[in-house]
Amino acid sequence: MDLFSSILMGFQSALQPINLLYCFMGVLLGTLIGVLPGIGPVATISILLPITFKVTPIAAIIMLAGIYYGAQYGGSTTSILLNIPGEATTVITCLDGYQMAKQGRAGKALGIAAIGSFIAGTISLLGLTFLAVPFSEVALKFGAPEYFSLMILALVILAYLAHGSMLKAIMMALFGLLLTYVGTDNVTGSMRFTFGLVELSDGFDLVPMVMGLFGISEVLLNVEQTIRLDVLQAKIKNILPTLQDLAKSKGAILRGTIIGFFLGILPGAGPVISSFVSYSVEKRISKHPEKFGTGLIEGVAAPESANNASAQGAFIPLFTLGIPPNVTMAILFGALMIHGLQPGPLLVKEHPDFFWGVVTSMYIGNILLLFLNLPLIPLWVKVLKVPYPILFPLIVLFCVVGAFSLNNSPMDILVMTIFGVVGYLMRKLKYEGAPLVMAFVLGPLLELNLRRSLIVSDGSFAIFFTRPISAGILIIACLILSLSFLSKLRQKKPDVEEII
Amino acid sequence: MKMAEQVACFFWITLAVSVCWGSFILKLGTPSEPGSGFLPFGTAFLLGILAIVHLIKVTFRQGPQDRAGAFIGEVNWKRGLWIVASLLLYAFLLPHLGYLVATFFLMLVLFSLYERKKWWILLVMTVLVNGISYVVFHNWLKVQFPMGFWGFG
Repeated sequence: MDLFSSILMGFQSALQPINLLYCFMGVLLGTLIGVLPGIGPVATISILLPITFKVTPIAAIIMLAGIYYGAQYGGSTTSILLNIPGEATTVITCLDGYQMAKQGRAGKALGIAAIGSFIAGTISLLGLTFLAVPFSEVALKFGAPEYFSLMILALVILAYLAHGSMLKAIMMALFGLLLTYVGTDNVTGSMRFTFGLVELSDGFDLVPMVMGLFGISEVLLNVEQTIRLDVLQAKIKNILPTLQDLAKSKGAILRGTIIGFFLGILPGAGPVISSFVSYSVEKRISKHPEKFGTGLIEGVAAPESANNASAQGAFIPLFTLGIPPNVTMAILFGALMIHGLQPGPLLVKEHPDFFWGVVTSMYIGNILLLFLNLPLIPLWVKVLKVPYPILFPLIVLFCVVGAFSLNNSPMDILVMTIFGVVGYLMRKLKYEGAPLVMAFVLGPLLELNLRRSLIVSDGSFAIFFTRPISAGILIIACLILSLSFLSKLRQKKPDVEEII
Repeated sequence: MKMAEQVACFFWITLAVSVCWGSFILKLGTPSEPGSGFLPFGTAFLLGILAIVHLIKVTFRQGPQDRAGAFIGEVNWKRGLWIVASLLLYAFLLPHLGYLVATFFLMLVLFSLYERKKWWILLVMTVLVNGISYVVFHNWLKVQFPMGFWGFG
């Protein structure tokens, strides 16, 4: 089937009323949680995952994907109006966005954020549309050693790009791997680390784990303080940017899109890093870098475009290689598996209706988001006024029901609560949850591919270094590891302080 | 923070040693025929080594001395404790009390955690959320909730 027919088939599927409804629900929820500080797409997708078991896989993934890229749009609202990022991906938007709002240009900042996000999201989707098939064809040539090496590379990059200590990030990844060993050994069928508990024979479920690590722990952290949001009281007007604004922003939007798209594909980078890098690039190439942070429209356009492009680009490695590049994709990976779909090169070949349906739904989702974000900005400002004391019990209730409904077992509520406490302690001690979840999701495949490779090579680890693709990937992983220990080079990572 | 970090390192080391020991029991096998304990052993061994390295780093790190409560900080940690305790109790009581009754009490606790509200506002909010959640999850999404010994919910 040629590309045109595939896209046509995708639109046929995505435009079915039920899929359209789930797409709308996804982007609406995404914008909502993007607007609300204190709950992000990772927590929301984790919480809503069990609910999607009742619907078809395509509707489920369309909705969950909508939440993810919708949140990138919504996050800018709080950054611009409150100087509080709705999402980690919009931290950098605060710098110029809030200044614009203080100067009475909140409408323009919100408008350029939405337009930039739309353009970037759409261009990035074109990239996904055209690159997905070639990528999956390359991936079809991969055997067990190549997959093992690729997963190691993904974990190494994720640890390298961790916000804090790389050592801690690697420890988290190893902890995530240890958690995957609980339950039945897929190769020998024997029980491992179950302590005789029947409930543990299938291992830990991804859903209560991520709900605890991200949903409950987020609540536990937020209730420690009294959150008061001072929303800018000025009336928001002139949402559409002028031609002059668009002329100023077009370069920033395009550069942000390219940076975001390629960093989105890279495992571990994701929308957060993309937004920082694009802001940094804009500042560096600007004739007036000193004016960044004082309310420049480019300072909003670039990061907002980058985070959206990155969010869409992240679907390429997930769908074509079966390697989730970030934690949200890792949860989507789990969702696909639960729905009986194996992410990877065969997904495009064996389930083209699903693959193209989800991809084309994102085009529709992007258009919906433009309409949801531009005219409805006053509504989102009102949403910001929902007090946290009302919001957090509802989040907890969603988590509880979500965890319970998995197996109709209170044991899952218990597991979720325990992981909630683990997640809380991890955050307090600055251990990141992302490497843990990534390793947990990749763990079974990592073990399977390692054991298969060793059996094929008769126990020789040389198999990973004698096959060119595998060797190439492992060399890159080793280089990254070596680089990280050179502290001077490590400081090159973009961070807020450096950029400001 | 230093002490908390050290405690965390000891936890990782204990976990690593326990998993290594468990892996031996499971049989490590050989590289050509890896046993069930092969990869868990390797992973736990690496975790243990990294935890020791981190412990050394943290112990010899120059910095201000810990003051009491530095880990907890100037925050209201009691609310978090209430949430965790309520959830643990909820998991235990749900099969006995049923969804409606157990969730009623959970929501009552959670809604009253932040600030003092008038009792009737609290009650209305709790009943409303309880009822709506029951309709959405049970009636629409067909989640099978436990009935409890009341025979409903």
